[in-house]
Amino acid sequence: MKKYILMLWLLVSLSLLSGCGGGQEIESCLFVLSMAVDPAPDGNLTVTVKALSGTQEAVGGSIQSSGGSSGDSSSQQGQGGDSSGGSAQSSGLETPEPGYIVMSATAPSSLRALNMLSATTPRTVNLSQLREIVISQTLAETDATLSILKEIHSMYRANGEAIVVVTPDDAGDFIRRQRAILGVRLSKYLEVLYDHFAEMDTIPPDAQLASVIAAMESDTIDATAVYAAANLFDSPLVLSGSADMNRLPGHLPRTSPAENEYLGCALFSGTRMTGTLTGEETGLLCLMSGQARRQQTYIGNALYRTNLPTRVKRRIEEDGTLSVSIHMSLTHMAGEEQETAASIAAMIEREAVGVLLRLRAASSDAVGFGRIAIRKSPDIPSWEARHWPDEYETLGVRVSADVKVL
Amino acid sequence: MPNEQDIEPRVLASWRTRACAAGVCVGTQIFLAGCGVGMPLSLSSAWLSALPSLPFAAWLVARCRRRLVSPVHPGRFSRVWHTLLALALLACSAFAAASLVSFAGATLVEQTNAAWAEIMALSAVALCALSGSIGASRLCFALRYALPALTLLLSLAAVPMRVPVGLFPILGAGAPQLAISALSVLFGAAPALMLMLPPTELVHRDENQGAVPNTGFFLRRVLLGALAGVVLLFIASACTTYESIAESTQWGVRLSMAIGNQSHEGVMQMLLVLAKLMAMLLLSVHMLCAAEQALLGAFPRLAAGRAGLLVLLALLGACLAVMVLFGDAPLLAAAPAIAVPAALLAAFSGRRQHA
Repeated sequence: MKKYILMLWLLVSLSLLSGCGGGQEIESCLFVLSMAVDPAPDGNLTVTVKALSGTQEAVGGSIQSSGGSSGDSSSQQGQGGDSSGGSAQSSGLETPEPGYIVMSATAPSSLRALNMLSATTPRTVNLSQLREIVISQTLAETDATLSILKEIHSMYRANGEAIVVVTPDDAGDFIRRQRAILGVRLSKYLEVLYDHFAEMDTIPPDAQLASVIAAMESDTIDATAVYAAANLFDSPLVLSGSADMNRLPGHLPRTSPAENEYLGCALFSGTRMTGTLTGEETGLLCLMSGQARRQQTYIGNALYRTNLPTRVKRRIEEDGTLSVSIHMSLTHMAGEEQETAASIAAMIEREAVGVLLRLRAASSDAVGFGRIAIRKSPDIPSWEARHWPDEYETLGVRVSADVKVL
Repeated sequence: MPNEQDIEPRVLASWRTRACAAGVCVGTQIFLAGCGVGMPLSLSSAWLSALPSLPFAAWLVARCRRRLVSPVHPGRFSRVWHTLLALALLACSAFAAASLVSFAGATLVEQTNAAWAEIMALSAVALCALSGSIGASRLCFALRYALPALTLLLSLAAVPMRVPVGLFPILGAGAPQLAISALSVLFGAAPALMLMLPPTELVHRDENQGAVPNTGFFLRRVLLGALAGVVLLFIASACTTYESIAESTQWGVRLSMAIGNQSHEGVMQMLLVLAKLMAMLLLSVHMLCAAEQALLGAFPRLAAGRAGLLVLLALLGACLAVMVLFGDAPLLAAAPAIAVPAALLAAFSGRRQHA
């Protein structure tokens, strides 16, 4: 009898222990790959999303449509309503390329805008596959950035690995212009794109959504995001007087079906964007934060291989000077060597000091000196009483570089 | 005091299994207590506040061993003592089951209704407990190295270990909060109380076969488990900024801090989640089985039809129902009180045995 009761219990438990409760069908969700947030009149926000449409024509159509432009795509209005109408809350649905769908909604908050999109589709907005979140610079320069990112991350359970991008253009148009010009999947295209630029050290290393939120909430480090803009050059004009990557996005002398450029970083002080760094300066920021991934570098006309690991020490001197010491060895690979090790070291020191001064001018502790300063405080109240952000702006900077050319 | 060589191998194996199970349980409960109660008080120095649990666990083990060699004689005091022990162990089981629900809700079954998740957890605990404590103890013994090592290695891989950003300020929210947190987390050592009872298979042995190993035998196994719990808590708390911990008001979110941003994606994260869920389930089952054993010491008639276990399961279900109705706050507020009966039981645990 006991065995039968146990058997019965086991059978009943099969339904209890399956863990299948609350499952979601793929077709019932709107999987968003890119999201853009722009300011709208009367204190509203316009949220634009690019999502998988789930249609069969995704593969063939995306290749055919790769030559489209932002003007073409943004002018297409769909069945969801009017995205640029005069009402305070509106939503739009566009189909700029087969396989993907662009939708936008305007509401007083990003959450309400996402809810409107759910009502328009009608599908449940799912941000678990989100690859990037683009914020317009105008909005990033306000205190609203953190609350928007937190709402999206916590309420909609957005993918914490999504890259945060700031653009001086219209963020909605920015994601409308994006398409997989190589390959057919936009999700993979974006993943490879950001990985590649991270390996070149031309974008900041900690631009993931979860990292940006954590840094914005932290008193010991400031957040950085990828800075990106559209390049509207129609001819390969060569600009002179600057290193190749020592530019902001939108100013590279090149032509390509991909109009958007990802180069440099947006600096935040607390929750507000306060400055930018060029691609070259971002590389030095990566180097000083000990997160450089670049393995090859051009100095003059010579190509060098950077030997890993490059040792970087950050400390705060007795007199309060923020100090960084860099030890690196370079292996000459190609081209004519024009610089000696000493002159390369002096150049790195000079440029790195320039980056630190720019960071200090923007009140942005992106290198993380706060994490060193906090060690002298026994507890959190004494640390918070120190007012590190104010102290940071008054401290001197020093960089020493030790370079060996092999 | 008998040496390990003087004890019959099969009997010694039973004691070893029991001690290893206690070690795994103490380590798990210290981690859970640190995440549940320690973190809100001392933020990222929760690991530091968990350190006093180690000497408390050592003291409990030493007193438990004394109780084993001088068992309580049947009588009114015995009934009260066993009932108190059963209730303390049941509270540990309820705490583990509740953490199992919270953690699963934050990771594996995010979409599932809380009540449904609790029914699942209760069913899992009940099914394991019905098979008896011997099997669960042997599973613990088999996993005594693998489970802590796997959890620690996976935590190291999953947590961004580039900089232990939460390591400073070392005193967290301040010395008073750290002291309160240390007192509150002491109950993490309470599962060591299971050592007050002999292994189930040795309950009816005769005098010679009932020899008990010396204190060091138990102490090193329990302290190793407890140390693993503190290290796990260190990884979880010191690698997270104090601002993030202060923002995490939900127990499940704090429990899942040590598995990185991607709580449910990736093989490593999934393995870590499963390893932690396994540890929580083992803790809950062991505490429930030990509570049943203690309850039978007080009320032998409850042995018929395993009525004792059914009573305890009903009480466990009631605790989880309270969690459904009022959230996890009442449970977390009451949990530190487990240390009080644990200390009382240890304080009245027989006389010192002279060799």
